[in-house]
Amino acid sequence: MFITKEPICLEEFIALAPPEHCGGTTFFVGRVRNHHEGKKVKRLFYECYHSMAEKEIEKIVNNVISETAVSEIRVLHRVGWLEIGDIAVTVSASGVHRDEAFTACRQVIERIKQDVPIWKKEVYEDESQSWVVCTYDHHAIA
Amino acid sequence: MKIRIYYFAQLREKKGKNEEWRDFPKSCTVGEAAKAILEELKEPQIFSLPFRYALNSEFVLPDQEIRAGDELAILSPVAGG
Repeated sequence: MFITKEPICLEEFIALAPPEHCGGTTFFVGRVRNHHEGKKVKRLFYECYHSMAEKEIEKIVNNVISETAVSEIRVLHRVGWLEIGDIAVTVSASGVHRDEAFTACRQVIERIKQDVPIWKKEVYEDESQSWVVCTYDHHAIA
Repeated sequence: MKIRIYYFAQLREKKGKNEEWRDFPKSCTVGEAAKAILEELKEPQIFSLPFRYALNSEFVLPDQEIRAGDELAILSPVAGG
């Protein structure tokens, strides 16, 4: 289960121990920030195609494990209404050494942003709203 | 043939619904079905969005043929993370 409607507890996420042969674990924590492209953001709404989002994240996790040789990757992405400062997504990657853990963690979050059917609507200070349209340079994560 | 269409995000709001069953002729492709659905919005600028398509929860290309009972989602640009 990679998608949750519940608040993400960072302490619980970090506390889970990786396999004992892993010497390095990296974490990424994505939070709701209060601005975007010069506008003040009040809150966000994340929507997903749930069944497909779960499958796509699983594929990303499996692919990155096989490409980077990390031993374990965990992902939790929250959906629904989030306030400024709330945690939207957490990723952890654990490997024997730190190099593969850093690489895997970066790969996972970039691929989530590219390929997982999750959408984000921003609500601004004046209560206007806009769906965020992201563009990515695929070469940036190669 | 009937297929099930799912709408998300901008499209869900513009359509005013999460999903619907629609009739399409046999040997219709994903791209043809999506074009017909998007044209109903009468917002030509919507075609500037780089839509992707999912059939039965898997990414597919626009030339993929649809079968009766398939579930089609027209995916506007994603923005997770």
